[in-house]
Amino acid sequence: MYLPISGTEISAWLLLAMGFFVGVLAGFFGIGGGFIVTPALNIFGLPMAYAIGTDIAQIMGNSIVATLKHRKMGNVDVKLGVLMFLGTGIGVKVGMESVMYLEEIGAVETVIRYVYIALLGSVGCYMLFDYIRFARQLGHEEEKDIAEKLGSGLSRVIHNIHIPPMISLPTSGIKSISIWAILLVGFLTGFLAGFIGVGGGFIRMPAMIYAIGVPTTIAIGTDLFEIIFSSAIGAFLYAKEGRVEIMAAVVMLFGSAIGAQFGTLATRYVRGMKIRLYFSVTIIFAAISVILKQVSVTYEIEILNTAAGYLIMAVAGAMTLVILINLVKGISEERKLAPQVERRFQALIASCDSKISFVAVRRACEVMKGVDAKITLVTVDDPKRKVDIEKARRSALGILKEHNMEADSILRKGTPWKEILKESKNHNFLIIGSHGIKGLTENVLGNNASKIVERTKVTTLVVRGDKKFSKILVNIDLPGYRDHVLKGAVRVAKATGASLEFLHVHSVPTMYPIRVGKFSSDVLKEHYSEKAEELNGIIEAVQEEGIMATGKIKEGLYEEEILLEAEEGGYDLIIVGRSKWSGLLANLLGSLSSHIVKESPVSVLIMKD
Amino acid sequence: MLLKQGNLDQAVILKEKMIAGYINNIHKMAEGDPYTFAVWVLVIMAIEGIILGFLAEKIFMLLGIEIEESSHH
Repeated sequence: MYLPISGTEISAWLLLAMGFFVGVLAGFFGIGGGFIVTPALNIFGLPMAYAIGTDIAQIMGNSIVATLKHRKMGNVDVKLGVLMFLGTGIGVKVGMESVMYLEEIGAVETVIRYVYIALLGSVGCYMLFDYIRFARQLGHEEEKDIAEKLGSGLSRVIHNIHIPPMISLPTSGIKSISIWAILLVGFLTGFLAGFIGVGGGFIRMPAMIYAIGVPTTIAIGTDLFEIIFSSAIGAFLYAKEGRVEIMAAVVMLFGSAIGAQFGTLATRYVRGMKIRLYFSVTIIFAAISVILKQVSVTYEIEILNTAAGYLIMAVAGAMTLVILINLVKGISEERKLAPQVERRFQALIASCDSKISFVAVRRACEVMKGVDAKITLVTVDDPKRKVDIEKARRSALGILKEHNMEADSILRKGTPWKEILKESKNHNFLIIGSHGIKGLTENVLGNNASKIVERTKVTTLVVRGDKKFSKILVNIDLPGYRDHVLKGAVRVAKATGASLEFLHVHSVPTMYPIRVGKFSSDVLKEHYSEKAEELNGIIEAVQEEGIMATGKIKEGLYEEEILLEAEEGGYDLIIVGRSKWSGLLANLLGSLSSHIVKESPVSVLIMKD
Repeated sequence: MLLKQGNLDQAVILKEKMIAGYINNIHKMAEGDPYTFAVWVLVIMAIEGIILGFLAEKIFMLLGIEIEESSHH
C-alpha cells in the first residue's frame, strides 16, 4: 500500500494486524497504545514524525470505539473524565515548557528517556508488587475485589483532603472528593505526559486507581474517554503539519475497532487485580524496550534499536493472546453457569404507569388461569419519564391480587425494552402491553414491543386494546404444523373460553403471476386438498377438547393476509409461530412476527419453540 | 464497464490514473491546505470510529454476545 504523504510503502495486512493488537490492548487497559505502535510503524519504514502522527489519529478513532463500548458497560465516569482532562491539559503545557527549558541547557533527549524508563519501570514494578502482595494475603478472587474496593493508602489520604468545592463521583463509587485533588492528579499526569511526549494513558490509568481510588474497569473507561480529546488535539496538530498518513490510519482503525471490542469485552471476565497484573507486565517490558533504545543511542548499536521495536511488538502480541484466551474462557464459563430455566412455567409481566400495561396484567392473569406458573412482575423506571413508578407497581400488584395470583416484584431502572429483554432471559413467557406505533421515529425504529419481539427468545404476548380474548385467530403452517403453536392456542382457549379459527396462508411472493404460470390447476387443487385434509384433522382434534374451532386457507402475502383476516373477522388475539426469518436476515429486515406486532390492531401472541 | 467489455489493458490504465489522482489529491491537500486536511483527518477518524463501533456491536449481538453493565463494580 502506497502512502502518498510520506512517499513510503507498507503492507495493508500488517497495518490491520497492528491495529487489531493495539485495539485489544487499548480496550483492555484503557490506553492509547502509542508506545507500541509508534516504534512498530517506524521499524516498518514510516519516518518517526509520520509514525507518531498516524498513530495518534488512529488512537483518536479507536478511543471513540472503545469508549462507546465501555460506556455501555457503565465504565465511564464522565464527570471525572472532564475534570481530569482540564488538569491534564494544563499539565501537558507545563511539561512541554519544561522540555523547552531543558533543550536550552542541552541533553534533553537523554533526560527524557531516563525519566521515561524510570516512570514505566516504577509504575510497572509498583503494580506488580501490589498484585503479589494481595495475592499472598488473599487467596480468593472475591477477596481481591474487596481489596480493590478498599483502595490504596494514597487514595485514602487524597479522600481526606477537604478543600472545597467537594464533589461526589457516584459512577466511581466515591462519595466525596475535593475537586482540587482531581485537578492536581490530572495536572501531574499531564505534566509527565507532556514532559516525555506521550499520550499518557499508561500513567493516568494507574493514577486514577491508586491516587483517586477509582475501580480498575472505570479507570480504564474514563481514561479512554479522556484520550478521545487529548488524541484529537494531537491528531489535529500533526495533521496540520502534514504528518498524518490518513490512509494508513483508516486501515489501522479497521483492525483496532475490532480489537477494541474484544479487549473491552474481556474486562468483563478478568478481575481488576488481574488487569493490573497484565498491565504491569506490559509496561515493564516497555521499559526494557526503552532501555535497549537508550543503549543503542549511547553506544551506537543500531541492532538494539530494532530489537527494542520487535520486543515491544512481541509483548503486545503475547498480551493480546493472553487477553483473548481469558475472554474465550470467560464466555464459555459464563454459558456453563448461566441459570438454567426451570421446566416450570415462568412468566414475566412487564408493567409501567400506562393504562395498557395494566390491561396487559389483567390479560396475563386470564391467560394463566389454572396454570402452575411462577410469576414475576417487572416494573421499569425510565429516567426519561417522570412518573410515580412505585404507585404503578403497587397498582399492577393489586390487579394480580384481585385474580388471586402471587407474584415476585422487580424494579429496574433504564431503557424499558432493554431492561425487559434482560429480565426475560430467565423466563419462558413474557407479557407486555403496547399502544401500537406512534409517530415517525417508532415507524422507522420500532416501539418497545417490536424491539423486544425482534430480539427475545421466549414466547411473548403483546397486549393491545382492552378487549378480552373471546375470538382467536391462529396462524398455522401446513403441511407440518408446529406442535407448540397448536398447544399454546389450545391452552389459551381453555383458560379464556375463546373460540379458535385456524388460518393457513399459502404464501405467494411478489413474483406471483410467474409462479402461478408454472403450476397446472390440477397440481394446485391437489396441493390445497392435502392441506385442507390436514387442517380438518386439527380442527376435529381441538373440538374434541371442548373448544369451538374452525379453519380457513387463504392465498397471498403472509403478514398481509393475517392482518386483514384479523381486522375483518373481528378477532381479539392473533397467535403466530416464531418468525420465519431469523439471525442476520431478521436483524436487517425485522422479523415477520415483529411486523405483525407493529401493524396489528389487536393483541398478538408469538409462540417460540 | 471496460472490464465487462474485455478491455483489460484500458481498465488497468484507468485504475492507475484514478489511484494517481487520489494520491495527488491527498498530497495536495496535506501540503497546500493543512487546516482543511487536519479537520478532515478528525472527521474521518471520528465517523469511522462511530460506524465501526456500531457495526461491531451488531455483529457481537448476532453472535449472541451482548454487552451489559459490568458486574465488577
